[in-house]
Parts: sequence; structure tokens; C-alpha cells
Amino acid sequence: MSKTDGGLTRRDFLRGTACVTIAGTAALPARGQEPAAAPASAPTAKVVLVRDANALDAAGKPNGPVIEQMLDRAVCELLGEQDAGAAWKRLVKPDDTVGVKTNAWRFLPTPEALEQAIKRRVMDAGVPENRIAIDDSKIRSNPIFQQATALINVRPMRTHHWAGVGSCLKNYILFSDKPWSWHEDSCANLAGIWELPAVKGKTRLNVLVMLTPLFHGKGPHHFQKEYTWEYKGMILGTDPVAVDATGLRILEAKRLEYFNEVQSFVIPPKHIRVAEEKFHLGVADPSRIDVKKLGWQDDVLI
Amino acid sequence: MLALGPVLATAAGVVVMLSAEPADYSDLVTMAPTEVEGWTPKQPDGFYDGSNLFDYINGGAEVYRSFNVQRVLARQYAKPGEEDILADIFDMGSSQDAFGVYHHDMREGDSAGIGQESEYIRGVLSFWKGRHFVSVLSMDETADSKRAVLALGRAIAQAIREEGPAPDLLRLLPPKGRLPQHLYYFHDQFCLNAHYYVADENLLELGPDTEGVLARYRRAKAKDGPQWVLAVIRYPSVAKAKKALAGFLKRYLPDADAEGMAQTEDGKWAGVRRDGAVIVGVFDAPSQAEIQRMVEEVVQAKLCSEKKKECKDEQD
Repeated sequence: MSKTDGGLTRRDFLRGTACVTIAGTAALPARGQEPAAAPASAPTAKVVLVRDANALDAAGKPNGPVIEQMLDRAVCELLGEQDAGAAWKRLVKPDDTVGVKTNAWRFLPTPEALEQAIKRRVMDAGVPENRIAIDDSKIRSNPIFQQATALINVRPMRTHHWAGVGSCLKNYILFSDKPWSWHEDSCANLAGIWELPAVKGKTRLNVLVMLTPLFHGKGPHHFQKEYTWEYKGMILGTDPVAVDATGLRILEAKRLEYFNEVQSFVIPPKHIRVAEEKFHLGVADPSRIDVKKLGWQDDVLI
Repeated sequence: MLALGPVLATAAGVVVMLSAEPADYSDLVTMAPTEVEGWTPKQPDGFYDGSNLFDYINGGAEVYRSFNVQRVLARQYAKPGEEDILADIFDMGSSQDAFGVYHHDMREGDSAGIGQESEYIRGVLSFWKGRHFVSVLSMDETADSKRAVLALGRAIAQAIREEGPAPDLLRLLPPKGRLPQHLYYFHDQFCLNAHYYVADENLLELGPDTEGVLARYRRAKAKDGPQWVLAVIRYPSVAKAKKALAGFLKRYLPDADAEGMAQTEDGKWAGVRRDGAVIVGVFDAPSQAEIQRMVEEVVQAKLCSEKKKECKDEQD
């Protein structure tokens, strides 16, 4: 039996004739389907998962100095450098113009302490302050972003009502002049945004903030504090697909722990796998992602 | 839309500013109190309908549009030293659609005893009453904010005068083994797929004139026993149901037996059957026998429901 004309069905996924899962990477193994082994020549990726038990203060707010240390440790590990300054000099050059694409969602924004830590490190690498911008919704009209030669992509991990999850791939949607045009089919083609001239080839680092990830969303605002937890981590990598795929594994593991059963995402986060299989932007298959874990290991989940 | 409006004085003497609301939102405006536990409106109210709800809740609006949202009042409350509270009152046009949008989310939390059905989880209250769905959200829960959220909810629920019926299709769902947190109502493909992905294409020919209920079941005693899915969909006519069933069998279950059942690639069973203008679908079932049992229970419930209606008509 072949794929139905006019679109995929659940049975196509069960047969394995579709390239993405129904409801996240955990769903298919739960239905007794093992993913096919990747060929030996398949690309691999490295990400760094860094955590610190003190990343949040007693009130649950980001602890700036600790977050800066986490950032330094992770960047050193990612690039194989002993010194954070040397590592950052490999990421950005003094003649770069740097846009730090943040995320200002009111319920779970990128912590300002992290934004400022990134800015300091970019300046330490020799980029003058007047050629660095931190922005979210105004990036298309921001002159620094318009002239950017380098981008740093930083945002929190959360479930999302259109894309399944909002993570590094999704964070670039506002580079498009028609963001809504990427919403079709659970935002499956989000990686296409990374081919836009304002973006293509410019991203030097992706930072997926996992301090208090949102693992489930409900209601009109898709936010409830109940569905966040103090994971106190960050995932860093140069491959946005690998970073997102690793964050997704953690969310899936948390959902299993919380709900005590496989609880499918209401919208399947298929865009992460599509990013690899259609757009070849990075590695989505966890078996080909080397996750270097630093720091606090309690309840690491993966 | 968010222009400043008249200045009002609350009973507590606190001066608050409300926006100049369009006339046809006045009933919603009066439902939301102007002061509760020291929280007062922070900024002008927001007024939305299906055409501009995206401006307020972005992609989340799609669900409300799917359930025919008519009007929305959004009011943000503030209190010094406390997190803000967002109160959103959705006029869904019918109690069935208010039920539907409430049950679009899994409801695993405790009831707050507010409205016709409610859930309170750590600072967030959701309920439906009559044609209204209400969400009251505080960013985090403190003793004060919990008191305020619940008081706000009670005040709004009290201001909604009339209750309304839940979808009558619910009566066709067998109670045995039904998982109460997984109960969904839908009109279209978008919402069906959100609860149980069937296909990219609209194989069941769903749309604004169809209504369906979907529930999850576990009839094995073991807590981790198999779960399966029952969907009951009512079409506006027998002819439309016949056409939808034929198309679904052809595209999704071409290997179905004479009773409309087939074993799917994961070793489980799926089956569909039509009774009048209603299609009953069972998915992920552990056996053919379970499908037959469940379909029979639905058909019996439908028959019973129709007989009652006939009896009532005769009495009338």
C-alpha cells in the first residue's frame, strides 16, 4: 500500500513511509517502531548541555553570574578551547556586525542576564558595542540586523501551539516579512527561513535556554507555571537542528515523567526532522548527536 | 481599540481607567469586576473577535476560530508587589462551543467548582458556563493571587446568568473505561488532528456543519494497559455521512473487512461504521472484538437517545 494521494495519513507514519514522526521523536518507538539505523556516512553534530544547580536564585529568577559562567564553560567545551575569550574569538571577529536574536515572549523571555553576558563576550572578542544589537520583534527594521554579518540565536525552549515546540529554528521566523506563511503543516518548513539572505550562513552560535522550560501548554496564552520546571540548563551548539532535537528529547522525557504516559504534543514538532531531511540544515537524529554534559547532573532526563 | 476611556471609581475608592468599549461588548465588560482582592485593571481592556484574535494570542487563536468565537474581552489586572492577572472572557456563541474550547485542552486538574465545569492548576483557572469560556491566569501562584484568581472567576461566573447544554453527542460515549481527562469536542479537521492525528487530508469531510466527540478509553485493569480512541461524528445528513464513510474507507482503510475493520501496521485495530448520519470510529483498539463491542454500545446509546426523543415528541 502506498502513501495516499493528496497527503499523509497516520498509517503512512506507522508504515514508516513518512519521514517524520506523528508526535515527536518519542512517539514512534512507543508504538513499537524502531528508527532505521543511520548510514555510517551520515553527518553528526555536537551540542553542549550545561547545567548548574545555582542557575536560579531562591525566587526562581536567573542568577546572572552563574549563567555567565555556564555560558563560558559551554562555549569552551563546544569549541575545544580552554579560555572563553579564545573561544568567542573563533565565533565572531572584530569586524563583524552582530545581531543577537533573542525572544521577548512575555511569559518566558530570554533572560536579560544571558543577553548581556553574550553581548559582553562579543565585545570581549573585539566587536564594538555600536555594532551589536539585541532584538526580537524589530529585527527587520533594526539597522544592525540589516547589516549583520554574524548572528547569535538565543531563546528559551517551550511548547508552541503552531510548531509543537518553539526553539532555535522557530526563533528566526520574524526574519520573514510574512511570518504567517510558515505556519502551514505545523510549521514543517521552518528551516526554510534559514535560507533567507538575512540569515543564511550567518549564525555562529545557538543557545537554547533550558532554565525553566515549558513542557506543556494550555489555554489561550499557552502558558501555565505548572508546566515549567527548574531544569537550570542551556544547550549550545553551532547546529540549530541538533540543539533543538536535544531540547525536544528533554521535553519529551519531562512529559513522560509528569503525565506518566506518552503524551503526544498537540501539534507535532515535525519541523526539526524536516530541517534535516528536507533542508539539510543540521542533524535531528539523536543517535548522531554527541551531547556533552557539563555541570549539575541531577534529573538530567537524557 | 485600546484607547483610553472613561475614568471610573471603584467601591474601594480606587480610580481605574477602562477603554471606551464598543457597544456590543458592554455585557462582557460588566462581567469582569473592576476590583478584586486589591487587583485593579492595569490598562484599557482589549476587545477582539475572530478576525483579530491573532493580534492578542497569536496562533492560539486558531482553536477559538475553529469553535466560532464571537467576541473576546481581555482585561489585565495589577496589584503592587504581585504578579499581574489576565482575565479573558470568550463569547463562543453557543454553550456547545464553549464546552468545546474548554475541552480542547486535556483537563487533568482539580475542579474549582466554578461555572459548569472548571479546572484550577497553580494560578490558572479555566471554566465554561453558558456560551462563555473564561480563562483567569496569574503568572505564578501566591496565597493572595490564588484567592484573587478564584474570586475573579466566581464573580464572572455569577455575572453569566444562563447555563447551557453540553454537546448532546456526549450521551453516545460509553462510560466504561473512559479516561475523563481526555474528552474532546470538535467540528473540523484541525481540531480532530490535534487530539488524534488521522491524516493531513480531510478524509472524514469535516467542517463547520459537522460535530464530533472524541474520547480515550482504557478498559484493561492495569494502569498502563492499552488505550484506544473512540470518535463519534454527526453529519448534517445521511447522504453526507455515507459519502464521508466511503471516502474514508477508500483512503484510510482500503483493507477493511466487510464490517469496516482492519489491522493497522502497529498491530492494533481500527474500524468505522455508520448509523444514520453518525459515523463511529474506533482507533488503536487491541482487538476486533473491542471495536465491535464499542461500536455496538454507541449504536445502542444512539437508539436509546432517539427513542427518548420520540417519546418526548409524542408527549408534546
